[in-house]
Amino acid sequence: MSRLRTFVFIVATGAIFALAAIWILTLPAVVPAAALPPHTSNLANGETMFNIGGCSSCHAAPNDNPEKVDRTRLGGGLALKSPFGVFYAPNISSDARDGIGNWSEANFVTALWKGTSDHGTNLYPAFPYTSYRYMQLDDVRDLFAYLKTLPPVPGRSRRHELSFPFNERRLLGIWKLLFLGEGSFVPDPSKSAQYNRGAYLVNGPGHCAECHSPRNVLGGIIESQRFAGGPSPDGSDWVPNITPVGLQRDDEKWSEKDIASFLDGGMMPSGDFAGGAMADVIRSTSLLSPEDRAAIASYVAALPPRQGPTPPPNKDQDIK
Amino acid sequence: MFRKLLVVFAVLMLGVTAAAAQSCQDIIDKRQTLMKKSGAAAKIGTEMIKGERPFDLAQVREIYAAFTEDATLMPTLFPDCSKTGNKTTAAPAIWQKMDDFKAAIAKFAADIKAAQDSTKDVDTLKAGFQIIGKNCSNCHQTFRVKSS
Repeated sequence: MSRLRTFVFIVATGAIFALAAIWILTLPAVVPAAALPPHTSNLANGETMFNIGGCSSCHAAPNDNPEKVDRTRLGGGLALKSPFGVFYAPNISSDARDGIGNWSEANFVTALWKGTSDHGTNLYPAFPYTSYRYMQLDDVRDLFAYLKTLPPVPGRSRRHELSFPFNERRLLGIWKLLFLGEGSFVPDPSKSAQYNRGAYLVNGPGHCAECHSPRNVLGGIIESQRFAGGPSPDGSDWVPNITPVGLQRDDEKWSEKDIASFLDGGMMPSGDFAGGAMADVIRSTSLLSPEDRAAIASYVAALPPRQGPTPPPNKDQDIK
Repeated sequence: MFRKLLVVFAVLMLGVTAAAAQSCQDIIDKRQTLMKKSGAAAKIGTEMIKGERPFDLAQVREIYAAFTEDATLMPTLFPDCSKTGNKTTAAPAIWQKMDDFKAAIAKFAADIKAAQDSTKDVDTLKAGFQIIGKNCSNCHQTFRVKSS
């Protein structure tokens, strides 16, 4: 009897310690204001970050006619369907009440680097902080300064529609432990400045891998297949492999120039034009400098070949 | 007599249905061929803009002619019976918002016309292509199922 009691005591104590450890480990991290050195903001660079970051793709109020979307009115509202439920892009306009007009710079850096909201709660990784965390501090601060120059848009977007356990933000702390990673962007000294600029833009603000990689059941990117394509987050479409496995197929071969020109005008080597989510991406990348597009192309063209999941056979009769 | 008529009628109906179905599949083929033709034309124009091919006004006229043919025929190539089949990537939005779809094609046609009138060298070709290309992307985003 007393042995059983001892056993129960040990298990119970262990469980309490384990829970306490998880609780501490999953505390949403914050970047304190004191960690930000003096900075003079560069609005032109902020605009570049806004364009490569694709902020408007999700945060600009949606319109049935994609050409009528005002990229500078960031009232949010776009529904992002996922296996975990529906996310609604929040208002990140400069509106003080409904947007981020009252955020401090530290709040913004915290959101992009740590995935933590201004209330200190975990943000869902539908907001791709898993990539934005690689952004350099000055770039994040310039982006914040630029966003502040855009018009305030009143109105909050809808609450996310997620079922248990995905509606428990605290549990995202565990997800972050698994998938957020550590360290900042490190240029490869053996490669050109152009390549490294591309690597930074693609992996940091551009967050290309967030759609161009397959994910595991927990929604984390499968690292061995980064950039190798997969189903779109809402499952309705297939995102292509952008490693040489996808870009050097027999029926269509992409040169570095083709990639840069695609990001400018949306045309593929075959003469076809991108649609879907990529059409929005191109609305943003077409506003980058030709040098930045060339840098992205130089990095993407040099990606190692990776085999991704097999796309379903060309959908035939059953397109609903 | 009545039974015979009924049989004849049934056979006729079957034939008509089959013919209709057949022609709908043909329509899907036709629009796909038209799209591929426009794609090939766009590719040639883009190569000129990129300096990979000499600018040739006669050839540019052919490019715009291909686009115009596309814009002229497209509104007629989406009857209700052609929603599925032949690996179509036409989105249901076409039939849900047929007026918007036709308006988008009309805008495409107008932009082609304007580009055609203003193109005289590589720079004006580029300006025209940038406007036309936006039509391509917008339509593919809203009215096509696959994004790439």
